Amino acid sequence: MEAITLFGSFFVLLFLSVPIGYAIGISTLVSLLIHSDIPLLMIAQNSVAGVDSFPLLAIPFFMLAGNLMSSGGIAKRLVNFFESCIGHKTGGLGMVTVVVCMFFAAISGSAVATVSAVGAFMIPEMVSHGYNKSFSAALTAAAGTIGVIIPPSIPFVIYGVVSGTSITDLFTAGFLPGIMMGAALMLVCYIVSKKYGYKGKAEKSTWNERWIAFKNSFWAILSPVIILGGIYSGLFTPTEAAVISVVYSFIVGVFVYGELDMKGAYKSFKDAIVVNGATTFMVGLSTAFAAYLTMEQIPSMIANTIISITDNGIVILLLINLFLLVVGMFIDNIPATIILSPILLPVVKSLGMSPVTFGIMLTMNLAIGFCTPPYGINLFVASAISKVSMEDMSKQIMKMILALVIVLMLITFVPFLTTMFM
Amino acid sequence: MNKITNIYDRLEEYLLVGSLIFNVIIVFAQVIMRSVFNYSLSWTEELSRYIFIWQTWLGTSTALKYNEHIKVELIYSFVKNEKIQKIIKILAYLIWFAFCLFLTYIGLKLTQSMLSRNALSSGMRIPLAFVYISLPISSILICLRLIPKIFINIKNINKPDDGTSEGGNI
Repeated sequence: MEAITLFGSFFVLLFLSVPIGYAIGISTLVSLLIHSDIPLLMIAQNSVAGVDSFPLLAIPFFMLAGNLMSSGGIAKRLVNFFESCIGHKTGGLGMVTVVVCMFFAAISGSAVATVSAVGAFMIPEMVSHGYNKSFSAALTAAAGTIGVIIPPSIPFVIYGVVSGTSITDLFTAGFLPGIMMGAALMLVCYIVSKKYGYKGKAEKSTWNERWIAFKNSFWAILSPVIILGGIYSGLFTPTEAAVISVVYSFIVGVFVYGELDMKGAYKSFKDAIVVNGATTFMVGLSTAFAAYLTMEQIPSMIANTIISITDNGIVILLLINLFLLVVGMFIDNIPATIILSPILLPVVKSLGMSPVTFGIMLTMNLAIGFCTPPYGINLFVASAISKVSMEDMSKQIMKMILALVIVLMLITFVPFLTTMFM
Repeated sequence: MNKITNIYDRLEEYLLVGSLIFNVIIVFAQVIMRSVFNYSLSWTEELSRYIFIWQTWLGTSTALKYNEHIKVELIYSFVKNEKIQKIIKILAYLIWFAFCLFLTYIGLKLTQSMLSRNALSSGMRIPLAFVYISLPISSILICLRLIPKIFINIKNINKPDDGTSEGGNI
């Protein structure tokens, strides 16, 4: 009964287009009023205490670093370098898009930042070389999802905080799945390009040109080495690595490339503040929601229901994946992570899945939702950049989603892929 | 009135941008102190966390100004009638408004209890009320920003949507 009030009111509010974060708070309030004598003060308490966490500071820092990198010319130089390497091959420019998204993912922690930074250069570039426009936009939207899988990743930070899993472990485990997603998308790109004869640049760059492009992009290529190297070696915590990447990208943008001016820097800070304001408070209200769930023992109730339907682990995992894919299509990944982790983690744990693997699987599901029609945020961003309609892009994106789902299945059922480095 | 809101908007934005710059500096300083000088600053982590809490809650107000709050707008593709669309929009704003009013009330109550218990932070020994009051202040700011949006939508309820219904710049 409590669960019905809680989730029922939440979905009604969502449907009425109340902002997601507040809808979470309101449904908690409604359930508290109807079903319990838990003091309402608990909502205020969790709203503040829920965001009182040093690891969460990584969120605005990673957003800021991503903004500074794109206005400081770092994304552009990455494009130039990879284009000089494989731009002339069949599907080459599409593959450049995917590789640059992967690199950018290793700098920024967000999918939207990745799509807008890379798409702004690569979609026009692909179109001018004869690629289908909606294919180019769809490919960028799909490749942007890698932004939250290859570390650093904002959703991993949130999952780590909520579930008490080591963020460093998550960052270690996410690397290979991210590369697999990139490889899968490149394969799709190659097959499509072969069929339609998408070539890219007419002539192959000389080794000398490549060397110059490499030198120009050296500082950009070095930044993931510093960020990930620092985290993996245990030198920095993820939050510290985030702040280092802010300082690094600021210095490179201003002093090395000279492209980051006062205006660009201010806009980078302001945008980070606005996105942080629109998302991070949800952690607070979702904490109240999750606290109520736990008090009413709803997670174990749901877990028991799922296990009572079937005790076949494979079926349960397939159902959870399907459920998460649907959730990811409609609900922002931050509240989804905070609400669903305590509900689903006990279920998958009882099937022997490690919390780290589950974190990757959860995030990957929700990330695929970013590029799934009709409400995928990456699609909106790619559509805004390229002026391709959502309908045209939706037709192209299906094969890419299929490729990503295949990777997702591998991650779900082959635990070795996410646990081998631990 | 417009002048005041303009000045306030700018103040809020500069304050938030300033707080982010400040946090970058102190967290970076902390890393340098620890890794280079092998000396840990005790107060930086706590201070940066409290600034972050303010940044997050006050940020909700700036995010509303830029209309960046995340919603599911599925319903507007089901309901094509513009008048009904407006009514739903007003309803959503009213629900949001009421909840923020509640957050303001409950947040003030919590702040008050922090004050009366004289709750201090563990590191810097500052009153926690300074931290907790971020919630009611930000929530009342959301209410103030929502009022003109609600009124503009009511006033233009029979007019076709020309984009002004988001309610200008408060």
